[in-house]
Amino acid sequence: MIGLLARRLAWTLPVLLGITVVSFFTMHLAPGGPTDVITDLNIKISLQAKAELVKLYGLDRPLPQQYLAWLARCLRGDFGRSFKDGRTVSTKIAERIPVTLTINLAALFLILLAAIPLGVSSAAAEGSLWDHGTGLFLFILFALPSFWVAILGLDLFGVRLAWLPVSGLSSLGIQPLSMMERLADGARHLILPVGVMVLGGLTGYARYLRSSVLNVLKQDYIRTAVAKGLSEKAVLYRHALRNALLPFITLLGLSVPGLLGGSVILESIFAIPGMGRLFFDSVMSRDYPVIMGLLVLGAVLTLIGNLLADLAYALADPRIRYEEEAG
Amino acid sequence: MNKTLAAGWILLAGFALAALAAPWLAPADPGEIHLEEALAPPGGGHPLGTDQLGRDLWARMLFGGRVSLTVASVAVLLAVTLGVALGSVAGYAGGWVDLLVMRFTDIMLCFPTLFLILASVAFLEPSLFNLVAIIGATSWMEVARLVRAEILSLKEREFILAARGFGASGARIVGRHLLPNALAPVGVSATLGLGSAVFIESGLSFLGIGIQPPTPSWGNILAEGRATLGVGWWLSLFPGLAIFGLVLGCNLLSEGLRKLHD
Repeated sequence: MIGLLARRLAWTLPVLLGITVVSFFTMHLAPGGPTDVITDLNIKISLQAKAELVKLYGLDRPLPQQYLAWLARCLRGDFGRSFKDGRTVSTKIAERIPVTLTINLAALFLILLAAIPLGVSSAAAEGSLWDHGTGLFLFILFALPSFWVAILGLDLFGVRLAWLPVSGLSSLGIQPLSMMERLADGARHLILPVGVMVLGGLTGYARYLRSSVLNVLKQDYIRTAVAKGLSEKAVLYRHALRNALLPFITLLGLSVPGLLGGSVILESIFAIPGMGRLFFDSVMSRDYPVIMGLLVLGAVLTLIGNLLADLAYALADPRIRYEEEAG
Repeated sequence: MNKTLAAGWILLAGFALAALAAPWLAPADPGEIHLEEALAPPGGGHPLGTDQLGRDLWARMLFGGRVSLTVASVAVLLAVTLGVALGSVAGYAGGWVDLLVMRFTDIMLCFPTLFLILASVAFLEPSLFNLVAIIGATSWMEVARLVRAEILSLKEREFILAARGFGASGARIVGRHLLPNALAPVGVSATLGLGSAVFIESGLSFLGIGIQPPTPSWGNILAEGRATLGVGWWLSLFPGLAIFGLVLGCNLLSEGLRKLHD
């Protein structure tokens, strides 16, 4: 396990450095350098902000020096201050992370709750009407644009039926309410955005699990379990599902960037103050320090997600551990 | 040719034909403003109704489809070119070149695509050209991995050794003998990528940072539709349906190709 951990960390460091290089390069995509965009095309940003930007990124120095100075500050977690309100970028991002994390975890939990029975039952009845029907349903779901589903859902449940709130995370005048009532209010605000996320993510997980279960069902130990007279349910859920879920761990790690990216559009539509919304607002107001901070942090979060998934996989599956240690 | 593949081709061909024939199919210029006819429901002289400026929605949908299809297909073409180039160099050259290219692929995969695209849009202006370049430059990674894996699995086989024995150059071996084998998985990935590119372009245009009005795109029509949803449902329904149909076509094609390949 220690050897595996060391190898993964040795892989992580160059990738981490690469992330900062790509981010730095992105900033310099602007023809003529980052400050040109600001002064030429965006009058919202004042000359003072330009001076600040030059100071922050050391734009008056040669490129390698700029990069090294910026890298040194990144490593200390210092991404500068927002142009908009002068608060540090790290605080601004830190206060948004719990919101995005809560919504994504809630959606992920519900997705798994639906995807596991869907995937297992369709694999168990491969080729049946149920298998084809759910497959078709999931295929259609996969082609639906989430922002379209979101605005139709908002219109139907938020405006026409007026069952659910249309934006934000809490209602106005919530202060006098009790703790429980506030939680209920928050949950009501989450139904629509989380629901749209679940619809958007369900297909990938359910289909992946289906093929994973199908793969496992061909193994010898499943034939043994059937032969010794175990019920179909016991074979499916105790023997097949547990093994099919192993590669699923990797999928969870791989889904971090998609979830972060998806939150940009959904949080913007539902006016949810999370990381995605912060990114969108910063792009609209050309708040470069925040954009750079989010770009680097988004990639680092993905890297951490992959690393955790790798380690969890190795913990859950001794075969991986032994192979890695032998190899 | 299986049913899935056929359904995908038919859907995509329908969209492509409508986009090509847009000037002949459209009853009016997509930018023509008739304030006296604003927000007319579907029917009569306007098969899909009009928007808040009285512009014909059917015409705007047709020309918007042109934009969406062009952006998505050129972006995917760029992504496939980049992916094939990097993947074959890495797979064939091996050694430190392989290590370097694949590490770069890992790095690019760490970025949430939409984050990278949004940041690039913030530094560049959202022109048609930049949009294509940005989407293409952020979606080549899967193709690169597929091509590299295919080349690695084939490059020590006898027919390649024979070609090398006859003195074929590296470029010729890759181009003539190795790449054709990678065609099927790349096709599956590219058609699926076409659907994602449609999503990305329309999502960006919906947020107001993609195709800029007055140029119509399904995404920015949908954004206008959202503002007038209470008084004109057709402005939200039709562009959404069009995006759905086009992406469904791409996904069907991809699934069909995968089945064919298996």
